[in-house]
Amino acid sequence: MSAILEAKGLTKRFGGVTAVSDLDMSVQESQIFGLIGPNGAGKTTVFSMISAFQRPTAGQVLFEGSDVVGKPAHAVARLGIARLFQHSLLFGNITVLENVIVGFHRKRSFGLFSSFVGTKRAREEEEGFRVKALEILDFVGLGRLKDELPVNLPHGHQRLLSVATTLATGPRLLLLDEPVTGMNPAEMNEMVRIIRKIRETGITLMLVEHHMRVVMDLCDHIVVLNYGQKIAEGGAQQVCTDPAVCAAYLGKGTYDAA
Amino acid sequence: MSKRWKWIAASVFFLIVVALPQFIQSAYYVHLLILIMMNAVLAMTFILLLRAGLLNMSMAAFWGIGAYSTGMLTLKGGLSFWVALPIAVAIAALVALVFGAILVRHAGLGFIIPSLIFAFIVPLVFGTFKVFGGHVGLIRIPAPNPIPLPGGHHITFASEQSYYYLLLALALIVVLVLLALYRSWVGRAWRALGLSSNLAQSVSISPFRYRLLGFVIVSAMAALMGVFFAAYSTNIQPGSYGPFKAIYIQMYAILGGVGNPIIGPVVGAAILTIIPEALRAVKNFEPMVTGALIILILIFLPQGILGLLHGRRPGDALGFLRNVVHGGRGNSNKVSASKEGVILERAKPADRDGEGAA
Repeated sequence: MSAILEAKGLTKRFGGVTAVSDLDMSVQESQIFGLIGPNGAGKTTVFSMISAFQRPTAGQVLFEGSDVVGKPAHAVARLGIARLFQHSLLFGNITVLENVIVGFHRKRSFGLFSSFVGTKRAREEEEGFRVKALEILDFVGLGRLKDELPVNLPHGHQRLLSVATTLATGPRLLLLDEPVTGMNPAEMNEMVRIIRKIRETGITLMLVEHHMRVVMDLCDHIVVLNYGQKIAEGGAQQVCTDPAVCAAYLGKGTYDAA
Repeated sequence: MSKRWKWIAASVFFLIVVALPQFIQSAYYVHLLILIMMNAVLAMTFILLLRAGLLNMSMAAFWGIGAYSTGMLTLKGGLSFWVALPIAVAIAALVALVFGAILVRHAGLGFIIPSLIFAFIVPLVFGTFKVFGGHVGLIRIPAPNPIPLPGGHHITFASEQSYYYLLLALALIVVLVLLALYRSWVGRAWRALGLSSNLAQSVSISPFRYRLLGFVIVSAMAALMGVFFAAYSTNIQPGSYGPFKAIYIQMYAILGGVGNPIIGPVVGAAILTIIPEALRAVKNFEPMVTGALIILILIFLPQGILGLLHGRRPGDALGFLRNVVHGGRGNSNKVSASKEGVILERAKPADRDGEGAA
């Protein structure tokens, strides 16, 4: 196994607040990597820096050996890092199928002109995208909803649709920001099942999640952040029993007082 | 409406548009039709960028650049209209490329305000410098040279009718190009950027590249209308291309319905071209009536007049505008833009104080 993503000395300051401080971590290929911590620990900021939506104050993010810092977000997406946003970010006004087709943007092989005049091969490629988009929708179990508008879908389905769109970009690394938050148990089980299926296809996953059962179930390796600092790292059991983690989540003071 | 019916409806509409001037004797009414068609095309160009997440106030300025380029090239350069046409469009595209490269780096107000400033500056430049004729403008711009036909006939440009057909040909080109663009992946990238620029970037769509492309295309189209207008009206004044026109262009689009990028502008431009003409007797009150009309439309018919035809269909102007003003950062639906990224992350550390954390 080799590291697909490495962060070295990653730091982000917003004015006086240090959201992430000197974070080192390394994500191995085809791992499910968990990033947990109390609210405000800086997890989403880490994701934003990996996907280049925010620029680190200091440090490096190496994706397959090349530094993503300073690249525009769309270029990093092109490298193969896809991101599921924390709040269902969808193209609400176009159909479910079209949402997924947008994800194929970087796969197209035809220039503006061919697409513009609608040459035969460009149309065939377009048709190929439709077929593949349907496959992806079936993969996440939304095939029969392809002509719906995302605004009309329940929360769980919206999240699955976001996953489908990110899968269409053909990522090597998928960042999932709170994939099961706000879901009912049935939706949650479905999402967990899909995440496992995605891993089986060889895609490396990083997960930010508050739902501990899901994190402990899924993740091979977990990093715990608190106030932007790494306080623990390891397998699920190891992290669970770590006193620093308990203190961060439950508070030290509580025990002392009791 | 099924695809077949759409084709039939479009063909019938086109035939009516072609035949219309034959049944109208009055040159004034043909003149009105010409204005409607030109305004409709300008509104179409506005909608293209709106769908890409940019509220563009500079369309009138590029319309003016097209008109003034034609005036300068034909009057001072002595070129024929047909030579001036591609050059004028190219000039506008070049200006759009240079200014666009600066303007489209930002979305939301960061784009709206600079584009509005651009709309103010361009007519000022025309009105200030003697080369452009100052506030008098350029007068006696020559008509297009006659087009020779096989058999010794010529298409001459003298009557309103002949200009109508010239404009119809130009507008048809614009509409076909727009339709092809909307169907291509470029159109899809624009729509993705308009709905959520963050998500678009995460599927590797470059906002800068696609918005700049859109900006150049629509500016060239607006300039094409300006080229026509210069030859048609023969006199051009800087005042016609000011920010007022920019606001009108936006209103044509919103009134018709921004969800219908081709038919919407036609409906909107028809209504908003006829109303000011009908209110000529009370000219000073005209902007008030038009303004009130737009406010009422936004409140009661946010999807525009065409929104009435097809119940609840996406493309409501308020939603578009709200999203565009926020820089397209949010979902176009209920998720507010501020929920994403920086603002939330900043707010969080302070939120959890007092929870016994040490």
